[in-house]
Amino acid sequence: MKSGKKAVYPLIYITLIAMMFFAVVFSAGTGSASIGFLNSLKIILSKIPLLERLVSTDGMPSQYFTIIFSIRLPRIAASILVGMGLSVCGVVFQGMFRNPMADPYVLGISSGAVLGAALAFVTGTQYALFSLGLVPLYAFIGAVMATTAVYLIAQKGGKLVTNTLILSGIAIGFLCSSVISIIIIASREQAHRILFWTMGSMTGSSWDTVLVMLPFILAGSLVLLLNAGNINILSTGDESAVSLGVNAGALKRLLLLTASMVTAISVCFCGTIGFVGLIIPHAVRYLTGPDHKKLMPVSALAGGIFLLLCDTAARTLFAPQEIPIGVITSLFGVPFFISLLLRSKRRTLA
Amino acid sequence: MSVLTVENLHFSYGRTKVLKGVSMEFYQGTFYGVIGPNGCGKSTLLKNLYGYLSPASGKVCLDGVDIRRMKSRERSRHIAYVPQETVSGFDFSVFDIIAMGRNPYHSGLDGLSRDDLDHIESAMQDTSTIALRNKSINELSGGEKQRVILARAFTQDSDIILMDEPVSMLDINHQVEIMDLARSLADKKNKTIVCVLHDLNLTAQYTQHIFLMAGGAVVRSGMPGEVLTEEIITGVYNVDVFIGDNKKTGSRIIIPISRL
Repeated sequence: MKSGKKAVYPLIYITLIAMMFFAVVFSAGTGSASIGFLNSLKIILSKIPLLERLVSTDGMPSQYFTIIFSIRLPRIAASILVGMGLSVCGVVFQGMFRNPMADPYVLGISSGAVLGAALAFVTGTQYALFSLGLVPLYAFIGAVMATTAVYLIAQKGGKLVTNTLILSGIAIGFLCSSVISIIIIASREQAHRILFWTMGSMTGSSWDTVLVMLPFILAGSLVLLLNAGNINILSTGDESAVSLGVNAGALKRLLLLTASMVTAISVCFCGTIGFVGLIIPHAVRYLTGPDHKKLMPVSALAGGIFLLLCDTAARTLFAPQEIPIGVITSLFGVPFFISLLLRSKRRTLA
Repeated sequence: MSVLTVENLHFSYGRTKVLKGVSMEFYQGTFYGVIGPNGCGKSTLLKNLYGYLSPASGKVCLDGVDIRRMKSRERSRHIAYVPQETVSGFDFSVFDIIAMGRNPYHSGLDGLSRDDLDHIESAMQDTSTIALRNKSINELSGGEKQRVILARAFTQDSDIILMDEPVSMLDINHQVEIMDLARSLADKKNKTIVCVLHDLNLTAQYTQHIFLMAGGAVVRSGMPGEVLTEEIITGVYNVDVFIGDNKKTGSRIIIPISRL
């Protein structure tokens, strides 16, 4: 069983990368202006060096190019990045807290980030909700403040107690949500938009937001990935970890701060998107086993694909009306999550 | 060769003083037993010995160097720890768990070297865990799990192995198996074993030197024959005991006497 898993491991990567490519092409071709899968494929290939000679885009309307490259691809890239960021953070939180319920949302970090971003929006002079400016900075401050508050409540003498941490995360999450609600009510005209945004939406994505997100999410994920072996050891308990040469306290602080940053940058442009960080690591663990060196990169790919498909559904299912992507992830997520729970229950009973 | 010394160690959990000036010396190749009534600070002491807990005052030194000054990676090459019970939230295989013992020699994402695999292989041989290698750690029985954690400690290749009640969950067959293994490490591989034990008969049979603790301090230190006497045990544990001789091994037998 285990050796079989090893053998299929490269296959998982190839499959996921292929799936991601097809999901991108599919999503780029789908929408209110229906371009179609084949045309979308041709248009995307025509911009890839070497492959451009294989395809002909003669006779295609030029607005197709504009729609794909200026409107849909940035949104696609943003969805993939956010899906990756949230999934990697979910993996890290579940591993470091040895708790399958841990994810950026449960720990109150997403809510803290959204609160920060909402404050930036209502206090800022700029009208545009999704524009850059102070929003990412405020989101990061919000996430770090939420993380710090959760950490301070849960820590004792520099050590973190897992259960207390989860509970204080939920408490801080509620607090942030309450303040967000007050902001929504207070900001009458924009209430609808903020509300929509707190339920999650990729609507405001542009190449600018992608360029802001990209370095933070990639650098953050790299730091987390480099600690994958340490997270493996941390997941066997603090005492074991320290005896095996892992400075558990310092590692937890590093992971918490890095994951807060990745979460903040992931949610600041698109609001809270629940369940991604919870479901993806669970599902991927069935494929890769518990080793975080495999779990993390595969979860990143799977999370990117998952969120891209969810966003495609969000903008097309009831077009021209958009559904908040958080609603979609929950609709897909909850039944999936329950089936995972049932399966694991059966397993432990057997 | 390394010597672990504990100098006037004080430790508190919040306001509760747990260790009140403990001093000890551990020499290479010896099997030490640490015994004492519940709450006397045995486990807390062990957690101070490998740097999981930091003393309020006093220090633990490895060959004269304060272990708090050592990097955790460096420290873990010298001191391994076998907890009373190991839990893992995830289904790591036995091999994965044992391979974690090589972590002190690794950084980042580099894989296992030939040398690592040799250490893992021989540790699995010594603990008869080869057959378990592909099983999930969570599928194992208590005895199997303890053997795996011992294998992980061996793989760590440290001079000193600390054990916190390694056999208290096991039946007598597995108790003897684990204790034999630990003792043979001290005898044949010149390891220093520091073992917290509840079972006085196992202590009598296996250890070469005993530290008897009470109320956060060492009240007696010596060979089993010197420490395990009726007067001392009755005084510290507050229970009448019968002490006899085990004719098969020559070690002491300690049987608590009912108060009825």
